[in-house]
Amino acid sequence: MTKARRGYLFAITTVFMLVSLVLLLQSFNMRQLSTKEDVSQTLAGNRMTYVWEDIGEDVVWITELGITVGDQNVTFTDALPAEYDIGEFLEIYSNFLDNYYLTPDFDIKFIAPDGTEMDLKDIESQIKILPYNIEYGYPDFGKRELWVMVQEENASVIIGMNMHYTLKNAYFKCNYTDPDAADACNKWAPLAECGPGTVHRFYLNLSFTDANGNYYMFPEHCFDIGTKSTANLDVSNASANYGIKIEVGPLSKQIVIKVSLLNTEVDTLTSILLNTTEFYINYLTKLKTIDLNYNTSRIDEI
Amino acid sequence: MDVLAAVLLLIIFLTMISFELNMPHETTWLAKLGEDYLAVMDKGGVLLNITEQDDSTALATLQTYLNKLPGNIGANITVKIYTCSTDTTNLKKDFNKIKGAVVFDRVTVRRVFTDPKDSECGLVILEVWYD
Repeated sequence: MTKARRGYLFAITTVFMLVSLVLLLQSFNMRQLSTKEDVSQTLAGNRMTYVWEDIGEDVVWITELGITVGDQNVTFTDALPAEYDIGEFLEIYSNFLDNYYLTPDFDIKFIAPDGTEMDLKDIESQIKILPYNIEYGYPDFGKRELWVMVQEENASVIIGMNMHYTLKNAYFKCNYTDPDAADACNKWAPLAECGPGTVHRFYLNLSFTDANGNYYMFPEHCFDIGTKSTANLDVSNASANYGIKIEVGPLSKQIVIKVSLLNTEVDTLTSILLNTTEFYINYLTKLKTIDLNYNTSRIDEI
Repeated sequence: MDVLAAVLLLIIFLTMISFELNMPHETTWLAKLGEDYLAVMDKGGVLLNITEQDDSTALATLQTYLNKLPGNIGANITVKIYTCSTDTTNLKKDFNKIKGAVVFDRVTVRRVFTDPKDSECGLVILEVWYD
């Protein structure tokens, strides 16, 4: 091979290798940019999820109301009455989020059940099981009264309820061991239990644990909620008057059950059993988390 | 000729290595580690407990939890507790603890918590990095 030919071969090989090097670097660079973009989007997605979970958990913590949905039941864990002004603290918390927690590239919005934007302090104190309009709620977030209500035409959707109350500051004054005693706890007046002709049967397991750890379950389990039954559970504490009033029915006032507290503090567990799996919950609010850099968002019920 | 080829191959090899070393997946992993770490502290009631602890106990609690991180992870945690009302929000106390030597490349995550019964709002900021 002549020197000239060797020179040509050397030059061609060098150019070929340099071009290969440039293409390779370009390919790596593009891959690098693509990966960085993917990672940024993953980070944004993860952050939206974590922020949603973080705030959602706090709202449940502030309202002291937890909701668990099963196939044919909805369970509420609650604490009554409120130990602080829940509406006011929701407003305080919302301001804190805006001023201290959220960064300029991130935003949140609370969305009402009807889809409109709302302030956190304005959330409703009633939760509805739809499309049957079964309502779990209180007159306000003071939570001195708890009810489950339904319109008469939808009453048959409710098979029954399990309710357990843990008394935090009172104990049974009535006789909780002997249902035949004169001072037994199950003093209903009036009492409408199920009979052969009962149209609106409502099955209820209503139980209590007092501050001393004593347990009591009402022996009455099937009620005719077409009419009203009322019981006053006799509880006490040395310092003041205490009491729990239980009303079952009547459906003419849309009442399935209503529990009113006099000075008594309770933790509650209320499980509503339904005859259908075709329902959904109208939660207190939806929370939308928004990454402003990527203009992406996540929205879900709290 | 052989020398030239060897030099080019070396350049290509070093370039590939340098790109691989700069892969940003570690950022995602660190962010997830930090978020999970704070979520566990929050759900476990650790952050709420800190609001009720005296300064030395609170710092000891933070140190204990920092020590639970993997050995190759450095962290800088700051907990700020505010008294909050409708009118004002005032910093009541704050705590800071660091594990390892702080480096330039670090990931920051944050979490909010609250104690409504005592009108307190809290913010925890965590920086994590490869130590």
